[in-house]
Amino acid sequence: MKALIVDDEALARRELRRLLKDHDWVEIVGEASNIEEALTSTNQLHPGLLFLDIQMPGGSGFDLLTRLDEPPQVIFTTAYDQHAVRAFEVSALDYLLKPIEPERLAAALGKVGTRDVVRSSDVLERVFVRDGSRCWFIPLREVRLISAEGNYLRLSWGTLQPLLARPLTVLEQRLDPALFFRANRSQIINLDCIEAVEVGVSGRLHVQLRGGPEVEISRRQAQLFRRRHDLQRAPY
Amino acid sequence: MSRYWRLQSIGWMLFGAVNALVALGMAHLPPLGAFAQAVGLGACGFALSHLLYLWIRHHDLTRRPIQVRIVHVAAFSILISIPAGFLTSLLGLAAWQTSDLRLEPGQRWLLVPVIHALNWILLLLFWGALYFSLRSFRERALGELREAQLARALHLAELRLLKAQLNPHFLFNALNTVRALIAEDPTRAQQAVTQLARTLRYTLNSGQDELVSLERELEIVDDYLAIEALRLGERLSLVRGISPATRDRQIPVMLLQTLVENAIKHGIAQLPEGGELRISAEMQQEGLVLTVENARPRAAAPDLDSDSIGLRNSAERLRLLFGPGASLDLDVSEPDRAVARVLIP
Repeated sequence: MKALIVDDEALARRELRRLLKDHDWVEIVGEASNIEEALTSTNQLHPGLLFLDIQMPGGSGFDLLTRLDEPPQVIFTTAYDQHAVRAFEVSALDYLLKPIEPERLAAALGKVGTRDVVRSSDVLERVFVRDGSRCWFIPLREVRLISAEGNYLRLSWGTLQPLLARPLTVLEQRLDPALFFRANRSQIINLDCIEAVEVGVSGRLHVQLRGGPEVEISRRQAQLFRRRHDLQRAPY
Repeated sequence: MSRYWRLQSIGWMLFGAVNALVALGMAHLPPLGAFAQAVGLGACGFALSHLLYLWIRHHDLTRRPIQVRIVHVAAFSILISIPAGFLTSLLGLAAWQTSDLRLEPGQRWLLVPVIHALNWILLLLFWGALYFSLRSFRERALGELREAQLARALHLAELRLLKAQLNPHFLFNALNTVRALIAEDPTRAQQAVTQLARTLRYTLNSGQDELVSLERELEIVDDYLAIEALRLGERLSLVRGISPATRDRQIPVMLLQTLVENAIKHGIAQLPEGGELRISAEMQQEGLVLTVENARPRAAAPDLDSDSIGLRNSAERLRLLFGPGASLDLDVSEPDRAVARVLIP
């Protein structure tokens, strides 16, 4: 497991390195002392795990996560910001309070071990979004609908609709094609969330999403949708 | 419905009910007459006592000495009971007319009204006594509650203050640094523990003395900066200009330390490449001038919430101790620098 240590204090990074010696399956591929460095290292080294300090000069650990296309698994390390970490709606793996206790570190790493850490493909599994003071790791398979709004994407996830700063076409390339379908110019739907498909008066397809809005499928995409779903010549 | 109205209603209803029972059972009044009399007497008692209540409120009697209260209540009861006695005796007579009892005219127009009036006087005096005792009982209970709440609030405020003084973010980061040093440089680790202990002791004792010599405060600032330097490494560059003439001057305890902490927290620690911290003390014509100057991030607006309160408190304390000539200003007019300046005449 490749890991990156992000902390602005050299001594704190070295201390964590020492503590991680007992866990030789964790390979520390790099260190970063601010979020710019962390951004570069993450994109170059593709660590599966981040040890992430929260308060850093030039931007917080949360700022880093919002700027990563594909955030790895995260263990927060903090001296006194546990309230900030607990504010997570969907938690990171864990958080460690400095000075770090070896037992707590082992417990946190245990949570990493139980997860599927091997990246199977180029499919993006989850994104990090921030809405005001609240942050979430959102598993994309739980998102019903992705709609473009200006330079942002609005994700319909449960009762929430947080915004993600990414172009639709870029995200689309990283989505699981078996699960997501481009309904029209500005919307992508989750096929698992379809409740009903109706044919409108003009012959257009309307998809009703479970607990979500109704989405119209554009003429161009409708053929593809029919083919995929064996709606060839339904008897309407 | 308030407690007053509830007690009033229940009390006078009971009074009416007892009256009706007595009239039925002992005076053998017919039910309709007994009922009418009971309702009438109850309503009258309700009205009379409420007038007394308004009188008490109007003259704010609950705050007056007991003698004044007694005089007021007695006078009011006597005054109002004479017409009331006459009125209720008419009611009683009307009710009794339906019974077999026959009264002499002398009894009818003098004795019965007087008995009624005396009854009302006694009832109202009793009502007044009850009212004042319930009031004082309740006020004592409320007073105790308020005292308990106040003590709790004070306790919380003290805790908050202590927490702010201890600066937990600094403390835990420092402990983490020490943990790292124990493996790397045991001698330096020992030194750091001593410095941390001195800083903590100074902070915890700072409540005892208002004033301290600049020299003593500078020792603690040095300890604090030594620990921060371990953490910040080369990012912290320190420039000190302390004029020897200022060392014996008295300053408010923790004043300089607070300014330096702010300079690190909102300035140097926020900059990835770090920056310069200048501490100077010199005697000028107006008096002792302390300056803490630090680099700060350009983008960030100066922190104007929690720490500005701390700053305001420091300025207030300074004026209380040294008079209106003393001042504390934070100058953030330059985009990448903050300058705190203290003047003590």
